[in-house]
Amino acid sequence: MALLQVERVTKAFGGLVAVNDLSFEVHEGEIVGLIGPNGAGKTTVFNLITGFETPTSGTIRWQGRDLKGLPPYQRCRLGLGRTFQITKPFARLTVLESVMVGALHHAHSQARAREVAMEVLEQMGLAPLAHALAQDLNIVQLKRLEVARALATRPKLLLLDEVVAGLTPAEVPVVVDMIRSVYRRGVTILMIEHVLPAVMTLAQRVVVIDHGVKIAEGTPREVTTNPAVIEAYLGEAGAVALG
Amino acid sequence: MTVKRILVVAVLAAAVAFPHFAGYTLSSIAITALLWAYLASAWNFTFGYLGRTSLGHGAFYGLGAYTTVMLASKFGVTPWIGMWVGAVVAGLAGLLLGAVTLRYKVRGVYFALTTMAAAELLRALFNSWNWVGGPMGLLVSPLPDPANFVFASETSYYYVALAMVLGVYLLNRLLWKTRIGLEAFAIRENEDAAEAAGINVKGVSLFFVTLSAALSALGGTFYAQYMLYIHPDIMFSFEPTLHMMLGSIIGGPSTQLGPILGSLLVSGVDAAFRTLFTGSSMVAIARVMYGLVLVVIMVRLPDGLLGTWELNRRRRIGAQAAAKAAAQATARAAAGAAGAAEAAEATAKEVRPDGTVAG
Repeated sequence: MALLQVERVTKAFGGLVAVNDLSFEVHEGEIVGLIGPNGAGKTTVFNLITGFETPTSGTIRWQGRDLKGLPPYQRCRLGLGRTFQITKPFARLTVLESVMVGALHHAHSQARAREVAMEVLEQMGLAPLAHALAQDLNIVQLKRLEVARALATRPKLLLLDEVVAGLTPAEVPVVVDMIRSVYRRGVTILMIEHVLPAVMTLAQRVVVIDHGVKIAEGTPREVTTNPAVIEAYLGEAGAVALG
Repeated sequence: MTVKRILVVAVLAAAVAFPHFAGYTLSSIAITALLWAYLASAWNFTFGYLGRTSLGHGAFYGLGAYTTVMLASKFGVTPWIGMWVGAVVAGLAGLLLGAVTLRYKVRGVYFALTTMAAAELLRALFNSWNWVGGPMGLLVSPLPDPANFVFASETSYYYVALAMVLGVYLLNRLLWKTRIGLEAFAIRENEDAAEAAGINVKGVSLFFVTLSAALSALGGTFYAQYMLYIHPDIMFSFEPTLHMMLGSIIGGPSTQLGPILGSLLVSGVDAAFRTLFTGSSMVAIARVMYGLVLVVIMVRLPDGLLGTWELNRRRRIGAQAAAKAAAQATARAAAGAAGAAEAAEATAKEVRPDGTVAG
């Protein structure tokens, strides 16, 4: 059974249809990329899956169960972890405390959450910064912290919203390695990415959306040679030039 | 640790001995200061924990006082019991206000104005409701009777107020270290991130708003039993909330002791200016100076006196730990691991000598 099923989901904000009749699945043990040009509706899809937005129509299933009506925090407790495109640090908490927050729902006490958080920080290479304030971190460290906090919630599926975007070329491989190491620990990953090379090296399967509509799905190689995808990214002229 | 313990014992001993050395005036000042310290801590359960600014805590403070006094005067219930009924009434009011504002996602300045409107609504209601005294207010029977929470001496009131401050401090300390405390801090820093990390934002927020309201009500009861007179324009006005805010923000809302020490400082400075400057024009100058002192503290130290100190301390600890880890990595690298050298370099670069981290 699929871990996550998005079935014919539509989300309209007034007259603007951000996501249109979208369906796709994520299976356990996969890295799936969700790509598309700016404004394609990728983050809206994440917000629908994690419960920050309610679909206008359609169903989202988690391990076969309809998630309708479940608030975000309960979806998190079911195993849906997420990061935010614009990092949302707990500015005046330390790195350790920030990660403890993610562990509280299963650790129940601050003491136990601290142990879990320390393990996660070790894994993520953030242990030396455990007692630094989140507001003092740089962008790479913030992105690591964002992933660490999500990992502390013990997700089965981790939704990464543009963790590579905004990094310098030198920083990209560092974060790509980080995602790979998270995956190797048995976490299924659904990632939104604007930086295509990062998705192409990581994802086994890619879903491409444009204007909220799925225009292609397949292996990275399949979608990059798909004329519809090239057109969405480069415009019609690009498609003709490459075709 | 032992120095800290000795200091705690010394402060407690001084606090307990105080009324035996202080005269009537000083004791009265101290009682009021302790009441504001207690109330600032109560208010801080919404501001310091959740990051929500309430301008309408007068509503809860007033409900506590009115419930107690009405129960005593109409039904002969002793204020020692009435105060808890008042806390429940105010707690329910807080729960309602919290539920409505959370349901409709009323945040920031809109939340602040909603709470203020709630207090104004109660002020208007109580002013026109004759059964509860209306615009005449309510008198508390002034006959000294410890069983009815009316004392002959300032000393007794002082000890009740001191016990309330200690109680609210211990409760604060307890919540700080438990799960729900950290959950609230996460909500304060970023609501969406907290929710995404598995925190029941609605539930935790309701808990703290309700607690804050109930505790404020107990302060209202104390005021009524101490001043022996309550009036809608006193109880439901902005004035009590202003005192709560000042103490908390000046002291440091994100610290355990900040609201208490901040309140004591504000009350102390206020009393000092009032005593030092007498005569009508001098009183005006004193008020201006008092205002200036508050402005300077708030502009220069936005996290409050203790809050700024605490943040700097945490920064220093973080930087030291990072530097130590970097040194260890360097040592390992010297032993031959090239990868560790890179890591050490990366970590060392991240922390500047002043304790901030390079960004």
